[in-house]
Amino acid sequence: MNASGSFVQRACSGVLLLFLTALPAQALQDVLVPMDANQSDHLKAYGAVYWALQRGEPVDWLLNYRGGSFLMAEFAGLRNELALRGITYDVISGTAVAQLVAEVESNRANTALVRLETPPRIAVYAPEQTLPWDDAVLLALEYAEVPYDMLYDDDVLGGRLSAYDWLHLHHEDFTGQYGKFYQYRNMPWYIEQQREAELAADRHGHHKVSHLKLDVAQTIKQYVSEGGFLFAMCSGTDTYDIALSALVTDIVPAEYDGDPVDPDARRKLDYSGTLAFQDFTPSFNAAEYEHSDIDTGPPPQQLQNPVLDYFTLFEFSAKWDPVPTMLTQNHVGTVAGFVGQTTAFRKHLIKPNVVILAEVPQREEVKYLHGSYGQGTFTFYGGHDPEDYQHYVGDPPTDLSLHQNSPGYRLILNNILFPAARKKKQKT
Amino acid sequence: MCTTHKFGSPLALSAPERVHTPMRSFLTCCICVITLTSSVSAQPQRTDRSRPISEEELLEGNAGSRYQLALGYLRGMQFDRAINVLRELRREYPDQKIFFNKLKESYTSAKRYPEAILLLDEEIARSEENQRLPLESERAQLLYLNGEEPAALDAWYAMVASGTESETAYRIAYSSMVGVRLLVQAIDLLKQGRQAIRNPNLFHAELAYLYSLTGQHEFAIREYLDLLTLNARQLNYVRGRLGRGMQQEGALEIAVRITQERVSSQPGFPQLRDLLAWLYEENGDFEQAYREITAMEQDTSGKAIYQFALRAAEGGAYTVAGSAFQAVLETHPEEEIFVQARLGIADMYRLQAERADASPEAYRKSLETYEQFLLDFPGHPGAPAVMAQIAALHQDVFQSRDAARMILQQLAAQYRNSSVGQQAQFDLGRLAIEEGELDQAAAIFMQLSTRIKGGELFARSRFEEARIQFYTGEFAGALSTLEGIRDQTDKETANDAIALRVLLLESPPPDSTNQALLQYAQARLLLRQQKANETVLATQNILAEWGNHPIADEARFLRAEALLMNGQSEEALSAFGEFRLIHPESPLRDRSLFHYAEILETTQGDTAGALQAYTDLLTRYPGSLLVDKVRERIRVLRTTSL
Repeated sequence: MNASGSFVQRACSGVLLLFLTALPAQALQDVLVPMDANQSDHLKAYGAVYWALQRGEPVDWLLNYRGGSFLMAEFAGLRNELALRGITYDVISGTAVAQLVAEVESNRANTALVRLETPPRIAVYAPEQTLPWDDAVLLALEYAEVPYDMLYDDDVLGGRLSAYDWLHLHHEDFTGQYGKFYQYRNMPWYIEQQREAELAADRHGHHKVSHLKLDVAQTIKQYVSEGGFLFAMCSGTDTYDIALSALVTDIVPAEYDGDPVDPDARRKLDYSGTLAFQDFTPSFNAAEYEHSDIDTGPPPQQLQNPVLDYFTLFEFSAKWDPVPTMLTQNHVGTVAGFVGQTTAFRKHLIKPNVVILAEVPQREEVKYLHGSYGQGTFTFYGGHDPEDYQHYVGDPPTDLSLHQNSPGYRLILNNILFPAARKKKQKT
Repeated sequence: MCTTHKFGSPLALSAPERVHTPMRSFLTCCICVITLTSSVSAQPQRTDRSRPISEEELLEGNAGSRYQLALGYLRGMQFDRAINVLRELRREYPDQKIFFNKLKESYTSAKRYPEAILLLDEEIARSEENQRLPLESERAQLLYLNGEEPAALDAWYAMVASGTESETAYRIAYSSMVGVRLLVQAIDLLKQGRQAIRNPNLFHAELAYLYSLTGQHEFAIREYLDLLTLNARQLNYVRGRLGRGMQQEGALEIAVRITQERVSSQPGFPQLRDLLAWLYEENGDFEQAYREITAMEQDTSGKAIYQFALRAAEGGAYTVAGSAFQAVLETHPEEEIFVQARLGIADMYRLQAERADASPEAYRKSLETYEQFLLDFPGHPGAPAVMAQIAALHQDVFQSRDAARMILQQLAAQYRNSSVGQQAQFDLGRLAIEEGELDQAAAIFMQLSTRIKGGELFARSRFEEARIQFYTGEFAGALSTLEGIRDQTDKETANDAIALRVLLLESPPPDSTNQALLQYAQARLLLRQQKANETVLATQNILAEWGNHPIADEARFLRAEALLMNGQSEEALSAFGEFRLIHPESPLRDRSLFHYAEILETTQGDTAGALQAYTDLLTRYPGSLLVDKVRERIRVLRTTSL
């Protein structure tokens, strides 16, 4: 049943259709997981797709069709699992599937079918230490029930990255300034974080934490160049590039590393080594909760309201630009804004070869971007928590069961599936 | 401007001449302007060396302008230009610390460490013996920043040696090393300091801090304990510092173990026991904590044990809390704390009954203790609250309505305008419903809601009015009452109010008498009055007589609930099981299936059957409000099955 079901999705020719329609109806049933407004739990749907892939069942991602729906041949336990996870699904006949696939693959609509076959191996770069803020990436994966491994500096520098397709990271500071939380320097979590970082630096022969983090950033860059996929959020985006740019200089104020910033630091910054940003200026003020001018910061006071602050997703050609299309699959075109230590990226500081996936209208602010480096890709997403407009230190983590249809969180989860996609040659 | 004369200009006026007349002031100002102009044009200004120039004087003259210029360069991060100006100033005014300090800072900011070290060497050579320690320490720090760690360490060690191995020298070096995060090295230095000075009681606070920062909790706690042993008044300081470190994994267990050892070796030191008791409590071990508190034999007022008892009761350690309360009673029979402990015991029993097993025995103990308290202390300010607790136990736990009524009436009369009195009146209304005195209940609730006119109790009271109207068949009146409190209903009452409203709106009468709905309302009243048998009979009658009425599904569901209340779990299982087959369109079908699964899981112990039933519910009714609960149960059962 499974084999015939998946065969239907691959083949759309009239001959095959004739053959397949002759099969018993029961054998041709497929399950469509719609991802439009009818879906009861968009986030869990990603986990269910992952679950199916883990069982060797291929899934077709119908890009731009009903919010980026998923189609799979029915197999034992599928419907129960979807019901258990609270996911809306439709059972459709083989004939209807054939029509649906033909419709999606036709040139009349900006839709496309991408087959997902292998569950990607996901690593999340995060410390074991519990820090007093939530991590949207971990929350999304946990809620969607997508398995992942946690890695940190020792693992990255120990060469463990190569075992994973995806590396996700969130509120991280690759500049070695401990998130610029200097005002919290006497809090136990800060002391612990600093101690762990210093010990790790020492273990890897580095005199300073900033050197350790640069080493980690370079290792991640190497991983991307060899075909890895990097997804970063909040301060994990800009601090990554800032660290890479400061290869031969010291941009860390004495409050964090004991010695002052290199007086010639600005001149010595090297933007050729960064992934997404260029011509930015780091902040050398230890007390300023900002790493550089890449971050636009929160919107003007009068717009600091989830109802008024939003960003729009770009639409790409599903057939010609499948990766940006996959990354922007959503059931809405505009997504509620949210701020973070890094809220959005200043447009004029983004490298020209980077694809902008979402931006804030009327402002020079990019919320979501994507680019390639070597054989891999990177995706940066500004803001801290898509369902908590302004997350403060010490706030409780967001309960995603109250935000099952979160468009903002969907953008995070789009970033787990595309390594599972089988590459398809484009017509020339 | 007029103050420029202070720089020692020959035109400076002597004290007696500083008599202010308008003319003289004017002339003085003019002279000052001339003086300033001449001094600026004749750089560098030579000062009168006959007396030392103060820093303030210096900064108000030409040197001050140049210094400001240097600061401007520094703000613009033009370190080289700033350094040139500051070097000049340093050369001209070698005794002025301000120029020395700023030049040193500029060298450091520009990472020109060798020059900063030379500057320090020069300053050390110029300084008196007793002023050298901080400079030498700074020099060592600069050596470290210059990448010369061994030389830096040598310098620090040389410094403490040259400082006649004083405590101060070690503390200066320690502070300097911590500044560049040489934590482990600072530990070594301070340990060496203890030996060199031959005083093992030095540097406890510093070492404890360093050990804590480096995650060496065992050593940290030992240092804190030494500190406490030396000075018992440091208990709060030690607790405060330990509190931060205890959040790290394993730290609390280590602290407990080490403090236990110390208490064993120094049993007569009460502050150590106090600290150990606190650590036990932090670890949730109230029994051990109590043992330490009682061993201290210091608590003459009984307050410490009483406070401990309250914390233990709140933390769920009822046995030890009871012992602590008892100890207070035995040792302080004549004091106010005795009364508080009595009340604490009664509250503890109630907490235990509510949170733990809800056993009648625990409730009984609570009731007896409250009653005895009232007998012994009738005039205590807490007496009304105690009476309310007793009434609630009689009414809701033991169903002793007469006893409850007597107390509630007294409370309602005596404390009419207080919240205790109003709650008592409300409970009297509930009591009247349970006894079937609906008119009386309606009058009570009406009177109450007229009097309080808002708030949670008002909404609950109005809702009870609506319920009484429903029980007596005044359906239109009930709807109207519910409409009136639509936006005021508190969270607790909201769901019940909505359910009743929906029931009334969706039960169209097949005839003008509303007989079926009336009988159903009366059956609901029976169930509220805990008359499970009668409810079963009443609902069976409804089903027999009005089997096709829209209320039939509600009646069948009520019957199943009554069977369950009556302890007839087999019959209840069948009733809930058949419900969705008989009423496939009923909005109660998901709830009946949920109850069916719940009985299988809890009463019947049929995990597989329950799992199947829960899964059926998810598949059949994916939009049900119960799905979250159902998913939770499925996950639990799946884990259990494994």
